Amino acid sequence: MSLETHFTIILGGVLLGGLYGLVALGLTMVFGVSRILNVAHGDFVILGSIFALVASIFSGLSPFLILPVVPPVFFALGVLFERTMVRKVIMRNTQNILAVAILATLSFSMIVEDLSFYGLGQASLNYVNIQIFLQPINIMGFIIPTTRFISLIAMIALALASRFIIQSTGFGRRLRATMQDRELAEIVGVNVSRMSSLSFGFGAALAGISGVFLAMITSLTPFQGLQFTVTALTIVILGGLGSFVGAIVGGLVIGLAEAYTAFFVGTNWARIVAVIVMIVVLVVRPSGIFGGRR
Amino acid sequence: MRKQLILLVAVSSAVAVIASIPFYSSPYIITLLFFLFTFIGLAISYDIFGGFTGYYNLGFGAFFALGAYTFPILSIGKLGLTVHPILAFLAAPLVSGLAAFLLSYPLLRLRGAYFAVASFGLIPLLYNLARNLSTITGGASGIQIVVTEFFGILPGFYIALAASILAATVHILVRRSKIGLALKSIREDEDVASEYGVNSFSVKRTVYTLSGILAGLFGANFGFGLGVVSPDGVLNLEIALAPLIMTIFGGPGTLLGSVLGAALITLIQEFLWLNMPFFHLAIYGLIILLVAIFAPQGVINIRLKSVNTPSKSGRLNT
Repeated sequence: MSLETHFTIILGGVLLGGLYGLVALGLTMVFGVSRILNVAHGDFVILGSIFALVASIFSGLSPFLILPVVPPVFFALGVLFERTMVRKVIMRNTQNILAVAILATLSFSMIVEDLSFYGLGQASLNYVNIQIFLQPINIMGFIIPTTRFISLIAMIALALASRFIIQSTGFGRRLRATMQDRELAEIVGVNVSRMSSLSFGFGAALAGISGVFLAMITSLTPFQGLQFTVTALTIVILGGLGSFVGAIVGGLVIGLAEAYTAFFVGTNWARIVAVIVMIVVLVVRPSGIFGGRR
Repeated sequence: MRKQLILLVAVSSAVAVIASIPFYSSPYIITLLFFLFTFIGLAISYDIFGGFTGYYNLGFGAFFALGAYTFPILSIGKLGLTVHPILAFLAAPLVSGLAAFLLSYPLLRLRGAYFAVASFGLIPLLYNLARNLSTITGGASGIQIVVTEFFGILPGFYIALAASILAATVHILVRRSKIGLALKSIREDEDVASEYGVNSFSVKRTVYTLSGILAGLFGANFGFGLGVVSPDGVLNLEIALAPLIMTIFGGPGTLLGSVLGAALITLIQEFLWLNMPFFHLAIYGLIILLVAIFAPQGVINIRLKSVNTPSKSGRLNT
């Protein structure tokens, strides 16, 4: 097998995995701060891709121009989700928060999936796929599709930006403090409830923008939302619960595994890779690659 | 003792009445009863693990589907050997139980919300396997089971009824046994239970396997009754999540709650589906949301709230 084939598969895998990693980063952040596992997290990915597709169709602009709008819109959407679904429905209960959290976010996911499927059907779109035709770039004899190249750069930029926000800003410090110990963070003056809203916003923004890039490199259907949540959770388990670096590395592992499976075994087998990896990891190393805490 | 005798008489006469319904009613009613008892039985089977432990087993539908596929795969001879239908039917719950036993090792390492989503992973896993292994499973179109006088919806209904009674018996036996006590302590506080000498993993594994076995039985009967097993038929989201939602709606950890929840949700769903051409999934989601808002402890516990103080196990402490 030629080097170029490997190069193409690796590029695809890294791109896919990096985007998965960003989705997983959002999931683990939201869970770490609010202690609520958002089953509908994967649906923000699909909503991001639908938003970019519909916006570019209606405005006639290139999807790349829509991109800067996606994070603020989805940040607002995430905060809105937290303010309504989480506070008004889930936190209203003092008992059985876990059951209510699962049921409420699951119901949100089902409603969004069904409605967006119907909406796309009305617009006679079977798949969410953002197609951009650009001249491929040639770097040192390797032909690289431009869309993938731009996505890769953007993905790296997003990962670095997330790292900067989490590690070096006051918001990031408060976020990490809340994740480590909610009560203690509150005592030292962190507005924990505001952190919860912001983490949902941050997570949704990451999921939304990943969705746009995912729709550029693959085709998505609205019913994949729950599957993205499962993939993201696999990555979180793989990378170690609550670990940000682990989320990105775990994402890359899953992305590369899916890309190689798709090439050698078949694209229809790539979808089961994540769950198989999850089961294997839970047997072999339940704490994950970077895992410390449970 | 006398109270139990009265209860026994009441239940057996109710079963006798239900069993006689097909003699004077339409095929539609028989089909509805088939679904009703399949879901009642599934909800009880789900409750044996999910209700007693307080775990949210979103992957329960996988064992149902495994049973549904095992029966035709063995009886038609898709794997090379043809097994007598009765043996194939009995093999289905064993296959599901074995799968549950093996999967309990990775999955039961997780708790709370992580367990819920990780176990849901089994649904897309089996869905894609069923679609991809088309030589064995018939791919997307599934497997047709030839309907003879022994197969079909009417015997399916009777088997579902009998299996539901079996599931209810297992439910009662587990609750009254030592395991039932251990399960209760796990639901209240797993760490404390472990410290007091409860082997929580082994107990959970036992009931997880039991619940898988029963799910496989209902799965086999589902294919047997309907005559077709397909990925979209047995692994769709509504069927996969139904038992979980029904038990939470009815009241987890109680037999009556599971039966009530399953019956109510099946009937509500049937009513809505007859009157709504589309948005089935969204409507189902809406039902779940209403359950989450108004009856997160189960309808059976609404009145008893002051008497039966709900446990604080629902609090997320992972």
